Order: sequence, then C-alpha cells, then structure tokens
Amino acid sequence: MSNAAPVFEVSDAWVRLGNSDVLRGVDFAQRPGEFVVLLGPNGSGKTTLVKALLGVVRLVRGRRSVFGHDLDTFRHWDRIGYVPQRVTAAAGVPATVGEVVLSGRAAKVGLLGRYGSEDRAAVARALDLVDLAPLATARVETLSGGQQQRVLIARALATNPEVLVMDEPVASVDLAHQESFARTLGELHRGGTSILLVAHSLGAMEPLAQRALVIERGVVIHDGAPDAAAVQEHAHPHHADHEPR
Amino acid sequence: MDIFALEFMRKALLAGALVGVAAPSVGIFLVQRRLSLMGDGIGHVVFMGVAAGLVLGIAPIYTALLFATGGAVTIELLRQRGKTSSDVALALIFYLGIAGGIFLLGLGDTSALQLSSYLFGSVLTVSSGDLVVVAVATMATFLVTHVLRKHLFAIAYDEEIARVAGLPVTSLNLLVAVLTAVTVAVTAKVVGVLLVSALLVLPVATAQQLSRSFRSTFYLSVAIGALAAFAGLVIAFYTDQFPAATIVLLSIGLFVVATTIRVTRGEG
Repeated sequence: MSNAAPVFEVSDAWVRLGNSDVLRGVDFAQRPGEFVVLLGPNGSGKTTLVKALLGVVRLVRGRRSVFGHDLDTFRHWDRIGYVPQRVTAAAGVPATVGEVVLSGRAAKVGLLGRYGSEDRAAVARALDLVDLAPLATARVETLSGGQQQRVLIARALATNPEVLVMDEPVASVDLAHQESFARTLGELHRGGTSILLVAHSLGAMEPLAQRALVIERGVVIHDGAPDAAAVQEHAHPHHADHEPR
Repeated sequence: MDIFALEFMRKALLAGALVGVAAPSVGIFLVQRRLSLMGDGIGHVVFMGVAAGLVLGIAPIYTALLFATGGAVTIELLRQRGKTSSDVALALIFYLGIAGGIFLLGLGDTSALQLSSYLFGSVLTVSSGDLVVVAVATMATFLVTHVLRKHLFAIAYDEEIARVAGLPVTSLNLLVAVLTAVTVAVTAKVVGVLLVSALLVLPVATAQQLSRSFRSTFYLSVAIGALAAFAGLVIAFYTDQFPAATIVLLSIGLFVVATTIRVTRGEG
C-alpha cells in the first residue's frame, strides 16, 4: 500500500549526549495504527529514542522519517500529539485547564490567527476523551497529579493527531486511574490512532499493546510480541519507586 | 495646583501609563518561564548604554535601546545553548553592564546628578523626543505580545512540546528577548535602572493573586501596571517624592492588597 508509510522510522540511529552514545544503532519502524510500548530500564535510552523520532535531539548517524517524509522537510506536526515527561502541568502564571489544552492548537492557527469555534470544539472533544470536561475552567495547579497528567494528554490530543507519543504518562498516576487511562487509550487506538508509549512496565497496557520494543544501553534487545517483553522485564528488574522524576 | 496644567507632568503621566501597560505585557512571559530577574539583568546593560550615550553625546535612550537589545539577545542565545554555565555567563553580563557603564562614565565628565537620574529614573525630564521613543516602543511591545500571546504562552508553557508542535520557538524567544530589552530601556527612563524589573514583575504577581486564567492575568496585570505608574506619579507630585519610589511602593501595596484578598477568599 502506497499510503501506508511508517508513522516513525529510524535506521541505524546513533545519538550522542555529552560523552556517551545513548542510542547505538537503533532500527525501528512503527506501522500506522500500531500500539507500541517502549520498555527498558532507567537510562536505557527510551526517552532519547522518542526525542530522536520527534527530531528534538540530533542523530550523529542514521536516517529518520516521519509519515514517510524526511524529518527536516516535514511540516504537518499537528499529525503528532506529544506528551513529554513532566512533573506537573502547572506553570509560573495561572492558567485554566481549557487554556492549556487550547495551547496545543497554537501552531495550527498561525501567528496572526485567532482561536475559533473549531478550536474550541477540538478542546471540548479532547477534554471529553480524558474525562476532564467538567474541569475546563479550573486552575491547572489545583488539580491532582493524575488529573494534570490527563490535561497534558488532552493537550496532545487537541489537534486530533494520527499518532500519540507519550513518555511515561502513568508515572504519577495511581492504579485506578491507570486503568481508566488504559481504557481511554484503547478507545483512541480502536478509532485508528497510532500509539507509542514509553513505560517502565506493561502494567495496565498489557491487553492493548500489540508490540513491545525493549531497549537496553541504547540497543534494541527485543522487538515483537509484548508477552515476551514481559519475560525480558523479569530478567532486568527495576524499582519503579526509585525512578527519578 | 492642577497637575495637568504642567507640560512636564502631562508628558510624565503619559510616559508612565504607556510603560505601565507594556512592562507587564512582556513581563508575564518572563514570570511564566520563571525568568523574573531577566529584567534586572537587562537593566544593568541599560546602565552601560546610558553611560555610552552620555559620553558620546547621543540621547541616552537610543544607546540604552541598542545596548539592551544586544544584552538580551546574548542572554537568550546563552540560555538556548542550555549549558549549566549559562547562569555564570548571565552574571558576567550583569557585572559587565555596571562596570562597563562606570568605566565609560569615567571617560567623560558626567556629573553624579546625571548618573543618579538614570539609576532612579527621571520621568519628570522626559523630552518630546523621548516620549516619541517611549510611545513607539511600548505600543509595539503591547501589540506584538497581545497578538502573539497564544503562541508565546505555548512556548513559555513547554518549549519542547511547542517545538514538536511546529512553532518557531527559537525566533519567538528571540522576539521576546528583544521586546523585553526595548521595554526595559524605556521603562528605565521612568523608574530607573534599579527598579525597572519591578514594573515588569509586580503587576503580574499582583494579577495572578486574583486570576484563574492566563487571559485574565494578562489583561489585569496590564491594567494594574498602568494604574500603579499613573497613580504613583500623581502621588509623587503632591507629596514631592521621587516618582520611582511612589510607583514601586504603590505596586508593592497593590500586591499586598491582592494577596490579602486571595487569602481571605480562602483560596490559600
């Protein structure tokens, strides 16, 4: 199929941060509609791989493309929703939940444009998806950690992206919310959204994930069925409680 | 005595109100990024610019603008590099501003009076030429921050997300740096180099005690800034005080009142 270019593709990707090679020849391609969980111990290069796919960090070697386009010429960033690792959704100045989610569409409206009814409808839809619609006018910093996390996810969903990239979104979310979060992701995925999720462990995502990519010391050590990845995890135990940030 | 009958007071009140509007409109993005002291840093560089103007015999407001812009762009470029040493580099720029300014003044025969007028402001001596520069700079700053506030909000909120979303983060950050420089340079004329940051930060800090949204913080801080500058000048006139002192003390007073209102509302 000609229109089925991979969502993200890297081949022989090398990333150097400071004096160490954080990624050492990673090959990865995510097919459209695929739900991929990216696993690995702390410091294995998971976050760096995500940043490499998104063009936030430079490759010292290798090739990468987004939706079949070279990253340098790719312009349709609204096709990607990104939720980076963050402790809170609050900033130095008060902002409402609605404002933070609306800011996800800032690039879409153009520098001289104004938010219109389409933008507000998209925000309402995104807030609905993460069950935060009643809190649209609340101040972000008054929300719990789990709710703030959902604000950031709604922000990423505000452009109606074809792929949702999330870096450890459930790190600060309790178990009950992890399950409701998994339901939300399942819903999005069934609707055709590709998902790339960085996590410590499969946890509540196990029934949803179609593929697991496990990296360790910057190298892919497993790429395939998620249950096998679960086995890998036992071989490399880590302690979620001691995860920094 | 009618305050509006005096031409120098009319000019001072106009300059004060304009600066009061522009300073928080750019200051809010500094506060949001937790760069509240950026204004102070640029203020130091403005001092050197003023000294250069006095020595060269050019209207100091022009050299202040030039030096402030150069300093702000340098600070922003250092920040973008993201090196841990940028903190030290920032400090170096502050010291360079003051030491360089004193050095330049030593080259000429500038009186201590001229010096203190720029340290503490000299709004009562605003010339028509100064007023034109102040008006252009402040109105441009307010217009640009107002039009671009949703993009600037997105960037100040999270640069990485904004970059991935496709916003021109580097250019817009440089734009904010330049607007900050321009605002600091003209605000220094009103409240002086030492207190310039107060007008950028205090109205925002006051507004955020009472607001829930970014939008209302933006408009409220602009209104508070204009009120503090205007009323501070009026108070200075009738009490025969330094305008910089009354403007900033009034701003602090408004902050205390706003905080008290918030606390008594029970919003902790």
